[in-house]
Amino acid sequence: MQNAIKVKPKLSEMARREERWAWLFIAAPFVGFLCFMAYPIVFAVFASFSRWTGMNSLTGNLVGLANYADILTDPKFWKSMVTTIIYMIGIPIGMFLGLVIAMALNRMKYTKRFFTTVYYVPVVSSLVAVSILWAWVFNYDYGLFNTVIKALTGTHGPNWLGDEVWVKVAMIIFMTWKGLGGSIILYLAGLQNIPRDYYEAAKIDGANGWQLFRHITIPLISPVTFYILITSLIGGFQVFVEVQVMTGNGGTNYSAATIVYYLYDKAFGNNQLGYGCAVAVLLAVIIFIITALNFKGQDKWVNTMD
Amino acid sequence: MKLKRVVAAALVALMGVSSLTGCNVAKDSEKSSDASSKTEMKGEGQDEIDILIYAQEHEKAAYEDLIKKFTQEHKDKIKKVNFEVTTQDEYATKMTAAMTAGDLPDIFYVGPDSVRSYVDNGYVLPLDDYVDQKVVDNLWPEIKSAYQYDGTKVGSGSLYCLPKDLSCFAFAYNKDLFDEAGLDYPDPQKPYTYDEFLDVCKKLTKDKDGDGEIDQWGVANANAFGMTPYLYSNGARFLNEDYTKVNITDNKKLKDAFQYYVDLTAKEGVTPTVEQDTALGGYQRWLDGQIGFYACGTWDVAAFMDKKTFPYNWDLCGWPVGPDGDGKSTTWLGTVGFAVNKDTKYPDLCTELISSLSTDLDGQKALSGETTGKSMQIPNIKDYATTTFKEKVKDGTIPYANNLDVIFGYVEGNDKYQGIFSESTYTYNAEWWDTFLEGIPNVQSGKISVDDYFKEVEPKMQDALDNAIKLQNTATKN
Amino acid sequence: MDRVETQVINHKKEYATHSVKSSKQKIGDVIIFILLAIGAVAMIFPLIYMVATSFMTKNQILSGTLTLFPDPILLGKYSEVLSKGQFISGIFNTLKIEVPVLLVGGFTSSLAAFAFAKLRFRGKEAFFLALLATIMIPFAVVMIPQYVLFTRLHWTDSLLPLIIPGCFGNVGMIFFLRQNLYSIPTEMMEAAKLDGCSYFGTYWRVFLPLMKGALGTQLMLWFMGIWNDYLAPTIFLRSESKWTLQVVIRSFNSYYAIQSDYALIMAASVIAMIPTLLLFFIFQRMIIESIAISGIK
Repeated sequence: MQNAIKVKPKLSEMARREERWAWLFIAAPFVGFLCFMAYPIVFAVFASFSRWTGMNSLTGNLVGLANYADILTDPKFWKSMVTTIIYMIGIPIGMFLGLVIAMALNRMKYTKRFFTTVYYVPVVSSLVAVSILWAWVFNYDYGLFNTVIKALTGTHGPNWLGDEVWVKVAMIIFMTWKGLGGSIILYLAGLQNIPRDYYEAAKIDGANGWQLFRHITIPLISPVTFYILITSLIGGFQVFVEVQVMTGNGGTNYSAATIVYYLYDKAFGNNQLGYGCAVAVLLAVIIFIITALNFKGQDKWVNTMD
Repeated sequence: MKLKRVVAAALVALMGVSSLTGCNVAKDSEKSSDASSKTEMKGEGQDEIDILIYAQEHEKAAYEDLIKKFTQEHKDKIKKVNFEVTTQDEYATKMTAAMTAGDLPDIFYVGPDSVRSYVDNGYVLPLDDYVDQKVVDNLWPEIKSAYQYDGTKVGSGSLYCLPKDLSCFAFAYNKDLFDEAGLDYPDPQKPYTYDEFLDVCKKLTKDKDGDGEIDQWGVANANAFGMTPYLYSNGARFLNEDYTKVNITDNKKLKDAFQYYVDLTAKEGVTPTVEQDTALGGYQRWLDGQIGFYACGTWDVAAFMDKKTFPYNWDLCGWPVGPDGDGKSTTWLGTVGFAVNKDTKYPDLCTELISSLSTDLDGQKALSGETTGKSMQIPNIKDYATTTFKEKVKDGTIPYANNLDVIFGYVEGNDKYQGIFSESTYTYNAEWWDTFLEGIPNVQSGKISVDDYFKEVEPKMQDALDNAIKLQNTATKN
Repeated sequence: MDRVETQVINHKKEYATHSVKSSKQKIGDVIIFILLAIGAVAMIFPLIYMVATSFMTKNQILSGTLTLFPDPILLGKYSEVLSKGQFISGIFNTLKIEVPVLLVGGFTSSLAAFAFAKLRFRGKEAFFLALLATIMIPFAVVMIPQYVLFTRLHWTDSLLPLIIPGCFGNVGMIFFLRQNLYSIPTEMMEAAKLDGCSYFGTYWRVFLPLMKGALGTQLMLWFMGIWNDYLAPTIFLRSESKWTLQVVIRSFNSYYAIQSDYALIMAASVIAMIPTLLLFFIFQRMIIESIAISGIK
């Protein structure tokens, strides 16, 4: 209904006028898009075919697909790719917690506002500051986690940021903590949109709490879930600052490094700008494919009410 | 047609608005920086010089003074000096970005490791015709050669930088812990052998408060900086002579030395464990008096002499010497230099300015501690360093460790000591070296043996090195 | 105009909740309250720790035992931070970016969103998809070319690289506002036309007031984004006099971490967080409601 565009074979004067105004109205973002996105993307794609170091000549060192071939045979690339995907374990965890907490918040009358703010605090706090803080929380000897673990179990906790496996757990905990507030807000908004009568009617039919949740909340909230999934996946492929600030060098044996970390390491740590651009292009392609697949698959589980 | 005009008008309006705010912003911040400005770097002339370096806070202060003085002396020429200081981490990124954009500052740092690529790609000005020969002759020979390049080889040819410093990574010990343990102090004339060193470390490693856990260690090492002195002092190197091949699996000297190094942690337990090290770094533990031996760069001296930072007595000594080398305690030297942009509009002014930054006597007195009491580096002027500087250390004007000769031994070289540039200085980038570093904690915690680690990591290092060589060659094409 | 207002009122009614609770529900509420409180403590503990640390001496921070209560209480760090010229100029620089970006960018974005939602024109879908696709491009891809561009324009010694691109609008905002406008009936459009409004007039007088809430929300989130951004400022800003707040804090970290002045870093971080927290606390109902109305899809 809403975006029904009537395609007419020939535009009336009126429609033509409307069109011109519309083009004018979108001119600013579109010019911005051309200057600050389209041009850089074309530049990056071009540079990805060059063994460009930033110092040498970009056009004088064209090597075709050599950078791409090097990337695909570099074990570090695959390692960082696997790590990036492992970090995404945090996405469903965050979505589940977000929904549960949003539903709980919805039952609160007077304290909802306060709690919502508290849960949202990590989202609005600066990444630089909280990364320093969490590095402390994960500290092997003095950290909050290991102090608690020692108090509870009497044994020493893991080496959170130094161990190849635990560092991933630590990063997932950190990122979930940081992002949880965002999903809570979105779910809170989504829950507001579910008409009360649905629940009332189901209750009259004798549905219990779990059934209400399973058959009303989950399907009706699925557009929100879909939105969170898409944006978290896109964000998940771009994790970088977290790794840099928390582990400094990408962790023991590169165990904490993500693809974008790998990209920066190559481009700025080792002056391989052309190579870095090639990684970036590959990354963009991967993100594009995943997003497209998601949109294709959404019919199967995303409920569209209208 | 009408639409076009409207679009144009709107765009103009939009740009107008934003550029207007832009202008205001620029003006405002200039004003505010003027107001808070401790740094008067403006003159009445036409020339505007951009400088980009990284520095610690007190270094920054010293350079600001020098630039102010210089601006005053040349105020008929200089309009303004833009002095930008960044952190060491961000410096490379900023320089790369500036280069790609063709927007290099007039004066910037170049390390000996990048002299070749900067020169090959035509970014830096040869200084031969600009800098006074007397200044050059008075530099430490080691640094001078690090910044000379003849188009094929570093070490001879034109001079491209004036040094910001020549540093060395010496070794230090906590005297108070030696007194407690009733041990003799290390002899600066005779560095320990591997065995002697291990022995002393064992005696310094103990559980002081009796809670069953070790809380004082013989030594702590930061792999990235504090490992190579052990290896070099056993005559070990990672690369072949022309820096094209990684040679570690068939390299007994290296394998023995590295085994000794990791055993300090893995087998002998005279360093904090890998886990403990991630919890609290060796540097902090040393400052807290938990460590017997710790590395001391020339830039660390001021901090270690400050009783508020480090309330213990300490002195300098040599790194332990392995059985298979030439018997000299060997550490790495570091330096970074001031270079001038080849395309600068003011080559005379800029070269004069870097001469002042590098070798102005007052500046050197400030940086090496005579006037400030904080020694950040040894002086770049050899005459001053070997005479007045030494005297001022001896008479206590400059707070310094007693065994200053250890540092001079590493810098000048003698039959017991020598300093060398680390091998990554001679390769296009340090990725091969980072690759080696990444897995060391696993060896130190016993998860993998030295043999297996070498086998696993050597091909990766070679790949990275090959890559670096490829990139080096693209640079020369220009 | 009357019709417009009744529409809005209808909107609000739909979302008003009303229920009378049974005692069983009340017990449930108490349990949930307790669980939420525990979760809230877990969420906010690191930040409490941050505030506590900002009052602690170095020895206490590194003492190895976890304490929340500074002893002795060190008050000096806050005044030390505030007396650093860098910190204050960091705040001002950040505001100098915020104001023009939010004003101009908010205007261009909402205008474009209006066009995408309510006007008919050829290439609408294509334009929109092109814009939307940019969300998928990592900043890393465009960073280097953007820097080249800014340098050629001689912008790198000013705040312009952070201001100008924002003025051209924000894709996320356009997307969000477009969704929001879909929930407003298109008949409004016709009504405005009958009243003799021009297209711009329709936007300015009819739809802009209607999307006030959503626009406010987006501006607030954008404000926070700019406030906390650190990657782009690090790369694009040259002289120290142009540093934004986060860059200043980060430089504190690299200068003072070696000397373990964690208290100073934490105090700076605490001050930096206050504005965003306050904004969120005050406007959170509006934020949630406007997200709800926009119906994410």
